[in-house]
Amino acid sequence: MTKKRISFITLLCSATLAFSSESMDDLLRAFKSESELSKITKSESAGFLDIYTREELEKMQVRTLMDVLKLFTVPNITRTSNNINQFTKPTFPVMPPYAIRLYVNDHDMTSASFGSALMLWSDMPVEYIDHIEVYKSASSVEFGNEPGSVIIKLYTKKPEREEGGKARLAADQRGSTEADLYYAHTTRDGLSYFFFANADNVNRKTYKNLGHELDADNHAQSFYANIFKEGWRLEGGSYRKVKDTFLGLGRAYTPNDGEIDNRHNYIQLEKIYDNGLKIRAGYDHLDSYEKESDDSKIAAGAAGYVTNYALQLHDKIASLIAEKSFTHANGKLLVGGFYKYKGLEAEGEFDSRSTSFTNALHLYSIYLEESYSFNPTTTFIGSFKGDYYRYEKQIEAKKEHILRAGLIKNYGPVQIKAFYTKTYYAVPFLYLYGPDNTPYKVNPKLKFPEPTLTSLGVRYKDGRHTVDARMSLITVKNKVLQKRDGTLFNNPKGWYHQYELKYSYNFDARNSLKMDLYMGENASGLTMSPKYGGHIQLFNSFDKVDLYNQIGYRSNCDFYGVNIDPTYDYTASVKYHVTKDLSIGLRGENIFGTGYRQSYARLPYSMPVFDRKFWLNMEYLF
Amino acid sequence: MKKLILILISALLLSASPAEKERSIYRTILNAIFPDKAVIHVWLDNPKKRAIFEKIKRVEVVNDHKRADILILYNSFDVPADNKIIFADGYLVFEHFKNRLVGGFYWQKGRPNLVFIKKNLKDHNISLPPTLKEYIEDDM
Repeated sequence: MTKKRISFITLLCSATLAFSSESMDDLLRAFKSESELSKITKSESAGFLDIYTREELEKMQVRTLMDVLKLFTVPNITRTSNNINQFTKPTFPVMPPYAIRLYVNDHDMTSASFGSALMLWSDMPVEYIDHIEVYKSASSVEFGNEPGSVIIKLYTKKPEREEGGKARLAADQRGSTEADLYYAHTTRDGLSYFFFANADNVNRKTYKNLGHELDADNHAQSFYANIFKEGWRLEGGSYRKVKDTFLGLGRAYTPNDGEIDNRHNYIQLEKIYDNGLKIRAGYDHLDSYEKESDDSKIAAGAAGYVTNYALQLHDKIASLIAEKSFTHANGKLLVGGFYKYKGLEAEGEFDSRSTSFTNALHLYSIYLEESYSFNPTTTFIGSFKGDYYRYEKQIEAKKEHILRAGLIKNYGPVQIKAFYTKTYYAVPFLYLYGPDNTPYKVNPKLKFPEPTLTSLGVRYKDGRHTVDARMSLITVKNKVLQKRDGTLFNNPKGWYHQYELKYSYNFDARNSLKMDLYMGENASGLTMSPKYGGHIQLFNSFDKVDLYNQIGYRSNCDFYGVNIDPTYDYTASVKYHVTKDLSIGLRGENIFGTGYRQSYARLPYSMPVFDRKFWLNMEYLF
Repeated sequence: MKKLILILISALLLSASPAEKERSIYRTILNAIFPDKAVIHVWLDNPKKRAIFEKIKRVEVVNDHKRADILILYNSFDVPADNKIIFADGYLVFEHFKNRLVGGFYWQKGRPNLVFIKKNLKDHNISLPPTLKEYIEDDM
């Protein structure tokens, strides 16, 4: 008994001593770590959550969102033949882009033409982003707005924590260049502002197919600003990206020429009242222009196969959102609603045939979510969202809804999360409406796909170790597929399973390890994208040096008759802090050139998704 | 059961929150500025920070700044012109009083900063322990 008491006191004293003997440097570092904004913004009840903290992003020396998307387990990032980034779920071909939603702060980066603007923003610069949260097996109820099962939320840096600026210059071995600049200030009367500007010119490796050059170079400019005072926040962004179309859309991938020019401007005004009421009004304008020329001919719906293909899309989106949280003794109730106008203008030139049309959607939505804690360790989440789609032309109005029930239970170091989500994805305009059936053979009678997700996750967190095991069983009614002649149709039912295992270990405040493994399988039994994969990430700091190592693995797959062997991507970076405010860094991507590959219909070999790159960069804080 | 209590106590002791870390930082700062005082009287202009200081041993938060040994300012730019020791809890206050205050703890450039000003420390006859010497700046 006495011995036990002594060991108890010894532990108490040693823990107290450990606590009190921290140096000021350790305390400041720990304070910074504990004050990470992600700890304030994250929502554990919204799904399975992965966070990329500011410290991690800085050590990784990420330039664009793509550097983070590469690390996604489910789904995996890839690129289409015309150089657009999309996702695949393990064993599945390309996922519908409208299933994945991207938010910057609380603004949904949406599109009328494609449903989600992630295809444009997937390569956005992230120097102005503080941290990234990824919610899987989610619904959008908690975040309001349009439905999706993977929600990527980016949060911008806070002016009150920056109070100053940063300039960053980067260049790679292929002659690419990039410049970033941001500045933030808070005035004495409480007005704070932040602005960011970026320009880049990225050269990518040129390949050849049947004597034709396959270019994928791109250049972009972006701007973001916000002003905040007394609960009002006005923010806006602009992003323009022009890129070559790589293999293009031709039947034999023999492009004569090809370019995609996308731009997106948005503005949002938000007011958060002390009583929990939030009101947001936003306006988005997107222009997308794709032109291609290929003698092997490009499919253009009813226009048949054409040599010259040009499509211009103009989206105008206005939204008004109001929501309020009611806190009660056992949790909170969120009630909200929004109206969104999504207008589309399309113009196309396909050899001698042209098309021009407009349509608009009025989307009305109400939603509510109850988080009820039965006791300090057990929380129930119930959500409902009702959406009404009314189109101005030809497409029938639709009533859709989302239902979600979840339970979060904590047993000491173990947390169990279970969710059942019945949701849907809104099919974008371009698949539903087009009076000339050009460039797509549209189907106004398409039903919206209706996935049902049953998910279970277990987290074990003890001291420095965290283990996460997750599984999701998904059935999809009315999945949208395309026949050989290009006609779109609904597949009655399919299923899909996915599994993730994650482990992280914090050696100390500056050194950590993260690992993950994933797998998936689908009803067809086919393996059209890697079935298994995983990553190892190692974050280290020694004195003035930050080191980062990342290994990614994707298993073999067989797509369009092309077998792709297992691929390994090794990426590493080193940063030297010359002073507190000046640093120089080197980031090597796909260092051994053995990284991820993608195959395409009718191409007898696979192509790399990412280049081997070495970025040298210099950062200065002022 | 006892094992569980041991684990819980260890977890409590080793757990951290921004407020706990901020308390540890201010405890170190105040002990360094007033090594010999039995009770340190602190006046704050930010009521949200009161809970952080009230739990520091030897510290008493006072409502009347005239009774204070140190004024910890977050957003006050107009304080009595007496010779009280001032410490900034925000960047704007630090900039405003940098000719007079002994130091500041504030967010800037995306990181928490701790700075003491040599000349002003000397004016108040304050000698910091060696562990804090690296945070002393000659001239701001």
